[in-house]
Amino acid sequence: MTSSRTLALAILLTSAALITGCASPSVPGGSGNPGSGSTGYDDIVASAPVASAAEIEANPWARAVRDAGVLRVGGTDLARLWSLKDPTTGKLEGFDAGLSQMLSRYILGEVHTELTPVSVDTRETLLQNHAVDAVFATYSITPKREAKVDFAGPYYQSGASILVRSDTTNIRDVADLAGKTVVTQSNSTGVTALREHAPDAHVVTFPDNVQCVSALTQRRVDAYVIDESILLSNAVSTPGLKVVGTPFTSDPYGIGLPKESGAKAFVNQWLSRIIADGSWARLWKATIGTVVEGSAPTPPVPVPAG
Amino acid sequence: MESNVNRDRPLFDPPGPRARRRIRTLNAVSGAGIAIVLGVTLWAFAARGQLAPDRWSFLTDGAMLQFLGVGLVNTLACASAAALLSFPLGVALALCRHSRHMWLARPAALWIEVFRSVPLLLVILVALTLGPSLGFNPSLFWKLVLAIVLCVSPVVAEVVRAGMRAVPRGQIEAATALGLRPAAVKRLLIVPQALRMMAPALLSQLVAIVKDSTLGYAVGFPELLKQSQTLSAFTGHLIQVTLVVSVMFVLLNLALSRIAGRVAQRARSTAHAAP
Amino acid sequence: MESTWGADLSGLVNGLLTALTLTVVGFAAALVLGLLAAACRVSPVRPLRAVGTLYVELFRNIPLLCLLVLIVFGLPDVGVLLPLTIAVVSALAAVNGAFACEAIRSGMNAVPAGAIDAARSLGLGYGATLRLIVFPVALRRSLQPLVNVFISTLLGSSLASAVGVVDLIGAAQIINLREAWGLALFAAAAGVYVAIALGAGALGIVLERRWSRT
Repeated sequence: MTSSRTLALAILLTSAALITGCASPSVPGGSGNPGSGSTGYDDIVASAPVASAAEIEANPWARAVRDAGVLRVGGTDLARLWSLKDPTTGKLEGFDAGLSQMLSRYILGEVHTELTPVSVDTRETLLQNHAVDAVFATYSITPKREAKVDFAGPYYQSGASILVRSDTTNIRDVADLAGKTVVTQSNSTGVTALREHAPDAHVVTFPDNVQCVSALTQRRVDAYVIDESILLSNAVSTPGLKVVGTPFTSDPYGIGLPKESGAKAFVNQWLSRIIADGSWARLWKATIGTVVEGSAPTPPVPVPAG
Repeated sequence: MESNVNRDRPLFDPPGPRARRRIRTLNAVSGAGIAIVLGVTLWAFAARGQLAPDRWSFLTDGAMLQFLGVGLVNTLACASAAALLSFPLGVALALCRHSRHMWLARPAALWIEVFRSVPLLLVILVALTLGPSLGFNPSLFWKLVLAIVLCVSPVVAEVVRAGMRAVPRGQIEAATALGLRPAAVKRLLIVPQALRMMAPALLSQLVAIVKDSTLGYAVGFPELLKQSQTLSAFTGHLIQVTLVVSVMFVLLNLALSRIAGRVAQRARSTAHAAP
Repeated sequence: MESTWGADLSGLVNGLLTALTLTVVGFAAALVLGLLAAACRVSPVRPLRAVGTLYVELFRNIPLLCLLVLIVFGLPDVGVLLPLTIAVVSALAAVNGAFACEAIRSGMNAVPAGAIDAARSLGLGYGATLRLIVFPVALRRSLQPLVNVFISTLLGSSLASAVGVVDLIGAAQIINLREAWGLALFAAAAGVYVAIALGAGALGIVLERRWSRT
């Protein structure tokens, strides 16, 4: 291959790589394009309140988001019920996703979010460096984390529960987990929950929900411990599984925000508004409520900025 | 590059009549054995309902195929960018390692030894957790690409170094006798020949880079394997989706190796044709 | 929370032992697979040659992570439920066995033709010739590439944490969750990997020198 042809090929490949690299890899986080997915969900998000210009002007964090034109969210796209990307439409749907979309609408007037996948290791650092504006990721509020980031909310009260195969009779609550093989998601609250409440269980971890469910159905493990609503969704979508016992931990979920950025007061005010006008409850019904019976639970009271 | 030992130099004499009979029997036996193993596997698969059409229906869904296609494009983009950065960097590293200046050669050697022996996953984790706190937070694409470049460029450097050492000493001595300075000797004589000799090994690094890109799941970069995981989460059919994606990867890498082989052949023929 | 120094350290040591076990056992199995595949590829029996070639082409080109997902989650649906550690070892062995096969085949080219003729004239059969004459020479000649295969196995073992086996990186991640040591921990883990790889390389050089004396 002559050197000029090599050079041309190299330039072509580099430009292709750069263009694709700069253009594609950010996951479209529901930038308002109407999808074939649940229109009920879209309507709920579209009917959420919008802040007045004065309110946004008064808050530096909100001003920055408005000026950027996009709400940069830290989260995931693999969590059923919370934030799951529909491959056919590219849209993010779920309780966490819906809240982030509502917040974006509150500040920008329309839904325009950009998702950065986060893990337990990166959540705090991404907030501290302002690489994201907010984290919606079933983010449990703990004192240790509050030292590094601010939390708006809590916006949801959760707890870990146990999922077993339908033919399992010897596991009825967390005490029965002693000596059994239990699976949970790596880097999740399930790990700490098991360590505190079932120290004698043999714990195996996998990176995501599908793999944990496979481990259970394939009889590799005896039980799956994680947030109850995720387990209920699995029990509905996969035959041969059942949820046992009652939630044995208490996990308040909060919205991660950069520390001392003024965001906390602003977002808490927004939370109070969507709780008051019923958007919170409607969103719950359209997401978690599809697998949990009954009406929406009483939303937790957001802790005011102190 | 695939020298079939049987062809180049037979390992054994041509078989006599008894050996030929034995070989025929073995052909039949092993052929039957392989067919049985394949049949049992397929049967076991089917018996558990894994061949049911609804589990494979994602292959007919245009949107889902497009979703995977996006992953494939991202994989290719990531691999190209990583290759285009790590090859020059690897050559530069090899030159530093080969340099007469100790202050260049020693750190280069250390760098190569360290980053050749560190798992890519570890580098990615460090970049993820450490990067932001150092104010270094590029897009997902570049986080993955730069991590791969860090780990692959030392390997490229070692390959190039092996090629540099294989250049005949006589040529180097002749060039020096002609008055060429060491830098010119390297530039005009050693590096081009080294690259040409090691072209196949270098291009096989491309396959390694494609395989490395599957670690994109750790940064959440939507390359092909991560897309297949999202699709599995959505459809609930992990095995089918992963099988199809595995086949895609194998075919992609086979194609890359084939192209690499042809480029290497042409490089060899031009080398012989040059005066 | 109670003092976790001891727990952390033991966690790391366990992780290290797991990583080492996976690497060593995986490499040993890869060698065996590589030898078998090489034997198949030079055999006069056509189906065996095809199997050998298919094995090498398949497992040289499939990403290790893909294979791990298939073995851990795909095989149970065919009725084979492997313990996680064995699954990881199998994946490591399969992939690195393909590389080992190619390394051994390149070493085979160094076997002197005269040695094989001598073996035949002594009445040695196919298997015996391979076992006594070809493989020892081939292994010795391919020592450097095989050291690279070992390092590749070592680096590949780090993917064990993606399928629930807690190796060194997995242990470091768990500790990183609890404490805030971050960089120091990961740097130490990196140092361990580098040390093992350099050790393997040094061992290779020593062996090469020892064997070239015979």
